[in-house]
Amino acid sequence: MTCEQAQQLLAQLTWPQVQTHGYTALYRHVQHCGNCQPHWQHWRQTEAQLAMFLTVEPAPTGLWEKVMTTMQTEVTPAARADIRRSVVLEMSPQGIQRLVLQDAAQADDTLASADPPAAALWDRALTQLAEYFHGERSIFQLPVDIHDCTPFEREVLAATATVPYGEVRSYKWLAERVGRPGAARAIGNALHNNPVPVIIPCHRIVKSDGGLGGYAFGTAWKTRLLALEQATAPFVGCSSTRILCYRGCRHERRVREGNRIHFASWRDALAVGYRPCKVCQPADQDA
Amino acid sequence: MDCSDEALFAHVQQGDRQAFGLLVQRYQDRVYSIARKVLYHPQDAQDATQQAFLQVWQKRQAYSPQWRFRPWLYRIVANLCIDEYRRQQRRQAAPPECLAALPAPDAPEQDYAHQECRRALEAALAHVPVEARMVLVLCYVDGLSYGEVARVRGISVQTVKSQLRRAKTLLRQRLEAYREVKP
Repeated sequence: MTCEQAQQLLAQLTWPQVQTHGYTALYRHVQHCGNCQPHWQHWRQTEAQLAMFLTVEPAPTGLWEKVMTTMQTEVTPAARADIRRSVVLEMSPQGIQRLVLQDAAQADDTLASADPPAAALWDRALTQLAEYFHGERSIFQLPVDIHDCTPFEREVLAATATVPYGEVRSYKWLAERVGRPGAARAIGNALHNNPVPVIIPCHRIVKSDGGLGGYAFGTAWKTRLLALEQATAPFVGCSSTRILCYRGCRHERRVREGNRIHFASWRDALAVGYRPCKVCQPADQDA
Repeated sequence: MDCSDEALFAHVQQGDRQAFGLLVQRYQDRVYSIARKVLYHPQDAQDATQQAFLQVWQKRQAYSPQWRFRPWLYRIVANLCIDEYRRQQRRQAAPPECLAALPAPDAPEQDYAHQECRRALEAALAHVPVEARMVLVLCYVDGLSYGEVARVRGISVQTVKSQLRRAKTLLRQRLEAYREVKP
């Protein structure tokens, strides 16, 4: 081994590797070469420091419990199976193209896609829907593909998507919102054609006289969805960090049980000193 | 019962939380140590560890048996830590400072020397680019080979070697400067 080779090797060699592989040729060379001795001594000194610092240190007490607690908020396989029976999904490369709600008794397992990216999205969608139906999620973070809709329908659906969780708006309000004050009935038709209900919350649109209005999958589903949203506080604040998240945000998942404060309105939370999470931005979205 | 990581993870893929708990127990120290060496702050490291295990659970169906479990887990940890580090850098434009805790006032003399050395090393490490630092940490903390590190980081073995060389050259320069200032 030449001095050049030895010094090159020392520049990249780590102590754990020397322990594993020996490197006897290098060792023999540096023991007898006056030129490489200083490099070798220097290498040993740095390695000793690195080995002392870059070691495994014990994780803080309670970390295991925290990880396992975070897991408890995850939906169980049984809950996913339930959702799989009640929801039929169709995917396109751009996102979720169609969502059909059905009676759990009429189970239909023709959902799985062989296409891996779509399968990953399908898995994510199923998880988020299961969380939603179990009151653990108030926003969806899923791509939807509504290219088959007419421009008017897309406009109506975009406005519908702004209605916050747990609140309702009238057909009239929606008509005004899209700049067609007299077109409440056309709005109803556009909502009836919503290809991705629940994710685009057309169930939050009701009649201005207080009536429920129609729903593509029957008023029983509409009542169930509205009741679920009424019973669930959409925001969760962390009392230690004073950060407010939408239920279902990844940061909300990490809030410890003792620090969780539930809020029905983001304004209430802001009024008592909470600030919106930078990831899910609760105050900005429905402002 | 086969208690290898891969055998346990096969149970995790079926939704077995107990098997997952065992894996967390087995790896929490190593994952935390990796995060701690890259992110410095104990709280950030703890958050990253929690997030990493949560991702492992969420992505359990995406795990392919062609991977061994350990590099797959470390890949998640490494990506998370590097993303978090970059996010922090964007938030605070200043270069990373040495964050090692000073020894307690009543610490014995030799502990003080030990802490001094640790501080110097930590300060030197803060000047190593995060990718190279991650390679260094993976090599030392869990003794991963070049091939395993390459797999974890999704780079070639040659790049692993050159990043190690780069990291160690930078460290040597910094530590030499430190020794000159404080012989």
